[in-house]
Amino acid sequence: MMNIFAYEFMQRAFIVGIALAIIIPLIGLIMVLKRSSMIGDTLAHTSLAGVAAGLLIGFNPIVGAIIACVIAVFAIEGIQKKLPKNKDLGMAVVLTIGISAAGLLSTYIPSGVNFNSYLFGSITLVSQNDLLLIVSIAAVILLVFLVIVKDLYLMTLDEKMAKLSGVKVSLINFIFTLLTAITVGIAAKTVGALIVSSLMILPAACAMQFEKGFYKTLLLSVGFGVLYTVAGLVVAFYANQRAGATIVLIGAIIFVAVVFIKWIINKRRLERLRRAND
Amino acid sequence: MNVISIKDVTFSYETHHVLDHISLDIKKGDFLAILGSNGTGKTTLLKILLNELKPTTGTVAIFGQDIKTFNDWTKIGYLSQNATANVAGFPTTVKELVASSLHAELGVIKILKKSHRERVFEALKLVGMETYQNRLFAKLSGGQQQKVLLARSLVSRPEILILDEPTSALDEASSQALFSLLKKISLEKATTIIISTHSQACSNNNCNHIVNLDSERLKEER
Repeated sequence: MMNIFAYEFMQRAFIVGIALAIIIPLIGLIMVLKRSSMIGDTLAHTSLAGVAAGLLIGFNPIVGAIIACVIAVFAIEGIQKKLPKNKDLGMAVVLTIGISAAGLLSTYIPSGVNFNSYLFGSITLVSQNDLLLIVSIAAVILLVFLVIVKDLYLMTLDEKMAKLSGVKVSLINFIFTLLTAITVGIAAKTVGALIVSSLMILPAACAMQFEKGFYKTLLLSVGFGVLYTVAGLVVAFYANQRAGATIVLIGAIIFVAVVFIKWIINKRRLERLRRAND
Repeated sequence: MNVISIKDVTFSYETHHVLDHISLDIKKGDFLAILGSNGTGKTTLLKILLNELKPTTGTVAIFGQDIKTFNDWTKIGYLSQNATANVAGFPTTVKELVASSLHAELGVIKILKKSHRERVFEALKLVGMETYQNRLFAKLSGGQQQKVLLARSLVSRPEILILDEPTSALDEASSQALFSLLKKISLEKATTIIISTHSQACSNNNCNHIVNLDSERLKEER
């Protein structure tokens, strides 16, 4: 059997994968709790426009994805402020513009360049430069997240209370929005633009099944993110499959298993209670 | 001494007139009930006190300072009408939730010290929920959740506590128990409490100051 770690490209894939598996679920849990899960999908699709622009003009597509996500996220906020009663419209409009721009730009990309690898990710094709860029950005995102995590907790729970407690709500919202955009941007090439939002939602969904407090749920989300990524990379390597898609599919299988096990445990607990009452 | 002074306040939502030349003085230690039917402007009045809405005309002063320049909001505790709904489904323990109100005192790193943890325990003890510290908030009953949220409002030791219909989802016995608890807090801690409610009986039994908001006007009852 081939030793997975004997290959440099797999070593890089594990380092980048784990770095992303730590930050994506952190952002994802806050998005789920803010009931704005769809924003991940919108940004991920819009990041493709930045990727296409990068490939076309000749700068790093990851930087292109980050710029596209930052523009998109502030466009969404701008539209939401103008139309506060139809907040989902902002995401729908930006998603449509982003995917259309990506479609148009991609037709001009030279035929030798693999634009499709950005749709489903190409974590095993990460270069040494990409690795340095992604890991450095991920480290900064993690640090900033840890500094603002208590503000985020309070704001997500009750924005009015947060304001009364002295939280600078607009500033923290701005920072979190920026973190989200950058996270999606750097994940587009590796995990894949079409599936990065799944990696934001699934670990949070799994962690929330354990019914723990906020900080334990955050840790559990990261734990699940790392588990999906490591398992996904190993399976994808030996089964010769796309890593991004395998990671997300394993995440989905684990989520279904966790929900099923929880259902069985609750059912047995209820039966025990019923028997005790009889 | 007046902690809040409302003078000749009028408020309209576009063409819908809600408050008409309201004036009210609230003294330190008052337990004030604002009674009134649905849609009479109780929540609007509380939002004006929290500087969320600006009155069309008139002035509001908190601790003698015009609300437009007042910025020491940590002196004000607040429990919103839909507070339990906001927290429902949120993965948080009772302890985390109550401690969140100490946010302003924690500094940059925001680590809870022993004294903070003791205050969380004291606030929970005051509402009789100290044994539930590590329980998940979402798993508590409606009455228990309301008590925990009250503890959260109290832990920062506010001088004024504003509660917007905190008994709307509670049965009569739980409402009476909550009012009795608030009366105890008002007397023991000299906290000024302002509560909007439908319950005339609970107000009569516990509040020293009662006003009725009806047809855009405020009428002093006690």
